[in-house]
Amino acid sequence: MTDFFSALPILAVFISVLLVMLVVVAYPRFSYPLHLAAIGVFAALVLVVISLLRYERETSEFFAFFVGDTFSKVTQGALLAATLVVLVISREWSSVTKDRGHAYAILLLISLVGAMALVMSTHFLSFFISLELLSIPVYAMIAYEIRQRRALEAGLKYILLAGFSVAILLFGAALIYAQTGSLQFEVLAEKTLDTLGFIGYALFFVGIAFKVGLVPFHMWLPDVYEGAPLPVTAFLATVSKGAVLFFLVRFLSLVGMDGIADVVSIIAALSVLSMFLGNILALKQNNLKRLLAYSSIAQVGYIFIAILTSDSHAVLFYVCAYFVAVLCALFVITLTSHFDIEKESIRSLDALYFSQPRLAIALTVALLSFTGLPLTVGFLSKFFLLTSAAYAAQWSLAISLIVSSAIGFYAYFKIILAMATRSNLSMLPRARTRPSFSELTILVLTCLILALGVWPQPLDDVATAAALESSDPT
Amino acid sequence: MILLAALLALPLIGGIFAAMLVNSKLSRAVAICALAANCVITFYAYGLDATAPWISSLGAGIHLRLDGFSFVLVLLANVLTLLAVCYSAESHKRREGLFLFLLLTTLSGIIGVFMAFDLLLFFLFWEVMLVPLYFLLLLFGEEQRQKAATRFLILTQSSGLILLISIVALYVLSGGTTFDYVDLLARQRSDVDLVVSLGFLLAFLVKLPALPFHIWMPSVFTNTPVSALMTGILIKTGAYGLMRFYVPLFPDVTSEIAPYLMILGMIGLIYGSLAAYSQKDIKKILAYSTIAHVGLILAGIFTQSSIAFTGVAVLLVTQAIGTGALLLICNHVYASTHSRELGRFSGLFASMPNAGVFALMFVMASVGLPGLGNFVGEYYVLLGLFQTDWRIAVVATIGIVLSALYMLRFMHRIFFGEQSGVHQPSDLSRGSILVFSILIAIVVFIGFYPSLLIDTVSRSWGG
Repeated sequence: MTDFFSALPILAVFISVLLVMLVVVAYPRFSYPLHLAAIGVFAALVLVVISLLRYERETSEFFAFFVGDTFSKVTQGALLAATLVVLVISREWSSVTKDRGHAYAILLLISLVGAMALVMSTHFLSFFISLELLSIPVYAMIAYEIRQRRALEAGLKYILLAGFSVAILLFGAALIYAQTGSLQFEVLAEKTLDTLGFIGYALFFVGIAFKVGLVPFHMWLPDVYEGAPLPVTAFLATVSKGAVLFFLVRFLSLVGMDGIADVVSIIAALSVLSMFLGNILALKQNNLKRLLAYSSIAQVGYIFIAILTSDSHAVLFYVCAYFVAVLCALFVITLTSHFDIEKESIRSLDALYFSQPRLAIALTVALLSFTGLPLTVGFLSKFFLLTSAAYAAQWSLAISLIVSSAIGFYAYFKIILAMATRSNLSMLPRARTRPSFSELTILVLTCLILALGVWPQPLDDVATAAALESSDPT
Repeated sequence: MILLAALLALPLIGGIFAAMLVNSKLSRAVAICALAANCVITFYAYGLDATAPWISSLGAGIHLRLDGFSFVLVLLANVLTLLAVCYSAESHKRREGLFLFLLLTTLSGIIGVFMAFDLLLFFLFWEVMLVPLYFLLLLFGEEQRQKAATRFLILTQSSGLILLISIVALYVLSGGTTFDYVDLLARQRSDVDLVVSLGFLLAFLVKLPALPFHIWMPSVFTNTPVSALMTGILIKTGAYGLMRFYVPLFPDVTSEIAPYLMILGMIGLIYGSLAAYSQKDIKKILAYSTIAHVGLILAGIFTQSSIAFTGVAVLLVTQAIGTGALLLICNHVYASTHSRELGRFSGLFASMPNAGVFALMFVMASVGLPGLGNFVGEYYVLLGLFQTDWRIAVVATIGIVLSALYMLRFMHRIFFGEQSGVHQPSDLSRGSILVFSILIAIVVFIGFYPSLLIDTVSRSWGG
């Protein structure tokens, strides 16, 4: 029964993929595929919660490939919740471009199945299949507005670089296999490595670094974020990136980091580079999506502090907090950049405090969460990173976190300043009346950022329960 | 617990209500009610101590305490904000709700800083109070408000982040189980205390602002909106942090570095006085005079003697009142003359006698005239300095004499002399006269009957 329940959420999403396909084939004029997808995702989320409540401490294994423990359930829950918000954002977008979004809903759900499988993977084979299932639909989603040049360009860039990175990753896995004779993560932990295995791990991490956008493998990220439609950007920033990070936590907790200390120290250096480069380059951006892309590069650098100090609790907390903030920010940007003039640029937010104060406040709260200001959940998540770095006596990482955050202030406050400035552009009428459901979602996200910033205990408890046992920082 | 939580929550709730109401008179009434209630609650909450769990995986708890020192500062913050709201009656017809919301949330943060006995909680309030203040400056400040607000935020935030590293380091060094101030006081001293303490020191010195970190101060002062009364109390958080946290948590380090910081304080006192004397902008004179006063406070704190501590506490109260009141008078002068430049106008006494009288009183207080509150504070600080190092005390006395120089110049050039350059001279309104009367009454009361205040605060350090 436990096994069944662990597999149920992913099955539910898979069934809703089939359901949407069937409905779309049967009724080509069906105009609510996103709603249908949302129902499926919501059902899966409910199943995750039920199985968390009923079988809290039980773990079920599916051959050597997948494992359903608390960690995978909680991370799946986070991915599902993020997808729900992405679907709400998508509603805004498809209503603007007059697209019914049939294929979009299907692609999104398939990608979600891949993400959910990825966080359960314990074997290179299942990992690879899940990763491809996650990535391939995203290529199409990025280039969904096929008539738009930059979307096409972004899609192509993503395909090329993702293909390249997967090839490297596979080569790394092959080298590890050649060395150890196993593709199962648990078995790898017991083997000792020589140069070949070391190179294998290094290549494997290069592939992962491509996927999450760690410097110097981040080049594709700003272009793709900018070119992709806003909801797809939101999906990339949350589900696609979060799943890979969650997977990495599981991988390192199974394999252990003692044997690959050299690789780990290289990654630590790269994460410091990411923090600084991401924040410094964010300063110069005028396009909001590019700015968020560079900020996400910096955030990945931060998250790697917790990954490298094997503090899965901090990773979970940080990624969940980041999901909420980035979804809130992208949602507001979606609602404010309906007009072609200065689309998605900082100037499109001019005088937002005066024209749409509610959206402006929501965006401010999200940005303050990025900067890590107290009373927002972003502060506590950074604080957890700081304590995990301090416990591991990684003071250089802690200080990099602080200094680069201080640089990041400028970038985020540039947006806040723009919202407070009046200009001629703000005289334009903001004619469109927004559907109230979107505003409600933004309100919920904003309140979440603030509520968890004041009272983080619920999220803290969940993250503590889900923390992988082998990775306690002692 | 409930009373202490109410002290924090009431301004916040009042602010939210004030922001939601459309009618500006109604929202001001709500704010005044909340603040008045908060003043009353402060008296009932005096001496309370409460703890509650907060983030279990870190061992951080909610620990609030209102001892004598905190009580005085919380009450002062409440009263000053109440008066600021009453005073601002005339100036923010539009966007009144937003203004009140920002003002009251800043107050919530400041009260939190003064009550938090858990370091993580303290840091939270320490950073949080800056955000609404930033928006107050940004949205309601004067011409160069963007520059002033940004500079203020960047400097205080960056120093705050360094404070955060220090707090985490202290937490890990003490075993990583608690952020509670009382528990951390009893921790094992470690060899790296000096390095750890630097983060605390830096953050508090920036907020004070002590000499090399004072650059945010003049621009904030010149562009500050009517919330001037707030600025007065806000910068007292730096001194509070030094007295409450730095000196008790790192006693060995404090004695080690005390001579240097007393010298730094003296340099600040002399530099601030001379700089104030050479300013043309009337608000900048006040800014540099504050920097000078802060020098004295810094030296007083690092004597580590309870006499000087008491003096500093009195000075904190009287200077918050005095500087705030003088800033309000400057705002009034600026509103009538459209200029802040010394020499552009003079002889305002004839056209605004009430403002002139109040200005004279606060200038006298600032100079340290006996019978007014500042004198008591300066006397105690000098006493403490003499016991520690007579050379420092001599310099401090000279510095205090210098203050007469620039403050009298300030008074003389604005209010006395030939009347000239005034466009729309208008005297203080009846409401403002009431506000100023209350402020001066407090200063006079402290001057003639200081023992009430002194007894209350000195209990906090067993004096």
